[in-house]
Amino acid sequence: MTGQADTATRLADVARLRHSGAISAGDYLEQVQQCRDAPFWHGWAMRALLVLGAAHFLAGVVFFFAYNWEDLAPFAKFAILQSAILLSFVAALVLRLERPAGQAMLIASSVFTGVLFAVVGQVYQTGADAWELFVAWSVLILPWVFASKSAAHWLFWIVICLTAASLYGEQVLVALGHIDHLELATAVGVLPALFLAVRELALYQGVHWLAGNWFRRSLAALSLVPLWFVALQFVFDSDTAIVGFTAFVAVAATFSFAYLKPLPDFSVLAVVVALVSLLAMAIGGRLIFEILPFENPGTLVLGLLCLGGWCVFVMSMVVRIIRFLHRQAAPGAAHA
Amino acid sequence: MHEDTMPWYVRWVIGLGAWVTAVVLVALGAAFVFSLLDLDSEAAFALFGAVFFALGLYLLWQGPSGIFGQQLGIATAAAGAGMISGGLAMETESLWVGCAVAVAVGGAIIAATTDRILQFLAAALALGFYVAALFEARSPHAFDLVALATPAGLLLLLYPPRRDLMPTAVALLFTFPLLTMFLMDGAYWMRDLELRSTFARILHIVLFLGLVYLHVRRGADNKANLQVLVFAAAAVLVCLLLPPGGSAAMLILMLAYVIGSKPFALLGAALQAQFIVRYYYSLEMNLLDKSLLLMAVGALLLALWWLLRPNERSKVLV
Repeated sequence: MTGQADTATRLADVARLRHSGAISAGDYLEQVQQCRDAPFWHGWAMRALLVLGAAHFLAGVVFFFAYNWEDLAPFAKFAILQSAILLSFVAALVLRLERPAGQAMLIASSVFTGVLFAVVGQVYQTGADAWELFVAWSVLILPWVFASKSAAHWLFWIVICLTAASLYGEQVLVALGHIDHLELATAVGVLPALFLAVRELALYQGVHWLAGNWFRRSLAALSLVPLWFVALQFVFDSDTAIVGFTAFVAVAATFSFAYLKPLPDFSVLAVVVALVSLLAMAIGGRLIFEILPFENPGTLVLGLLCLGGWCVFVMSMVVRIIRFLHRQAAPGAAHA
Repeated sequence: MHEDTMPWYVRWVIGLGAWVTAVVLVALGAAFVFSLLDLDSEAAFALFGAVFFALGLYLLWQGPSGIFGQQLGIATAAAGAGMISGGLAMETESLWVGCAVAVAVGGAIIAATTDRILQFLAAALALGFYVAALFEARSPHAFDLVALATPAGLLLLLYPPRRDLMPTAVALLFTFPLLTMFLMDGAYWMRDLELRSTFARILHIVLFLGLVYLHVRRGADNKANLQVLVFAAAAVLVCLLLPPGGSAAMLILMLAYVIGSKPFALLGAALQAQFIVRYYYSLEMNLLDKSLLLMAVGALLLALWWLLRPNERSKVLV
């Protein structure tokens, strides 16, 4: 497969040729299509068709149950869901686990297992907390997750784990007063970063099916974005969010270090820069209006003037840093 | 790093920062005019915006002024564009006037600078006014009229003029899918509005087929072309079944395939995922009908995947 960065560069070259007048508007599309990496896009189209079909069909199934769930007898509910688990599991084996279709079927089995748990809880009113359901779900499907050797399945499992941790924190730790909501949000934000560390280690040990960069980016975003919101809360609202603020800074710094030299990945660095710059703008705003309160028009205008200047300064730094990082993390950019 | 070779997400990072900065500068302008000068005139606000706009363009023309000057220029010009359009729209109490002014200001930006971030922000501003004006007019054809942005965007993208209008094309292309996404769960301000979408639906199907034609006409391999045509027939059926929002996302996925664009593929997939989630809350049909529709569409796509799959190992579609 041709490198995506090479293709992007050639597309940019075609655009430049068009802007210089070297090729006509009519020829532009022809040139763009010649740059297109046909085998890659053929594979992409087949995967997209499979994912779109499965997503629409499964969504339809969920909608159907949501519509007449109340009218179904408990036995029918169990029968339908257990049949779905069995069918998708058999389909996964038939389609073979090393192929995307087989992996998709095993993911479907994992999804139906969770739904079955929810129904058991509804029918028998077990009194269990929701976090227990998610913990049991994550433990039970773990063998399938290992067997599928699919990064998508692992991401699904991680999301279930994060939900379990979040619910446990909410229903136990926060309810008993051991921690507050912001500390919980911080813990749940740090977890994906830990999973990401494990993924990098596994990849280093030769687990090649985890190599998809989208998996790294998803985990990085799952960690950075919630932590960023907690950090923002520290800036504007709550001094108790200092743990979250510190965690955001620590995770952002760790990612910057890790994805600059040892494992160059420009896309993760760009996300870090974006979130840090927005936080810097917010910190500037807070400090400026601490010094120059909104009390009179003069200080308001002066404050906004200072904030505007600060934002422009931050943006200038962003452009400088992005250029620097792009040069430093060039090998990562090739995988973008 | 030349702007053309920047990965697309870097442009989004810089664009987001420029947008935040522009909002701060608009607030500064408003505070200056309405609070400090105590002028109760929106025209004065627009005039102040014109000063911002001129200053922004001046800064952008000063090529060697450095990165700070360039970023200040982008943010100031974008804020100025917003203040001129918003000020005149408030003064005349007409969003159409705001839209016309935003288009004119956007045209001036395209003529005066080559900055892609500023062009995108100006195009988004004009389209925002266009959509707001249509819905304020309570037109039942608002949906269909917004859908006209899609062919305009496609045309600029596939047959670009010499002037770089790619940012405008992207803004045009995503206006309709984003609007359908936000309107699907029945926003309160459009509850009493009977929106028609037949034209939008047909338009997106025609555009989809147009993209298929553009792809097929290059292929010399009849078997591969037959595969694409079978896919197109099924996709048209899917577009007929789905609400326009789903068809718009499918169109963007098809565009990604035809021109080989990874950013469009990612954005199209994200739009389609959003569509499915929000479709649950759509008020246009009951949950049972929606579930049957989604299952039918899913089964059709899976059948298509199954049909085309054996040919995967043979000739690659070019």
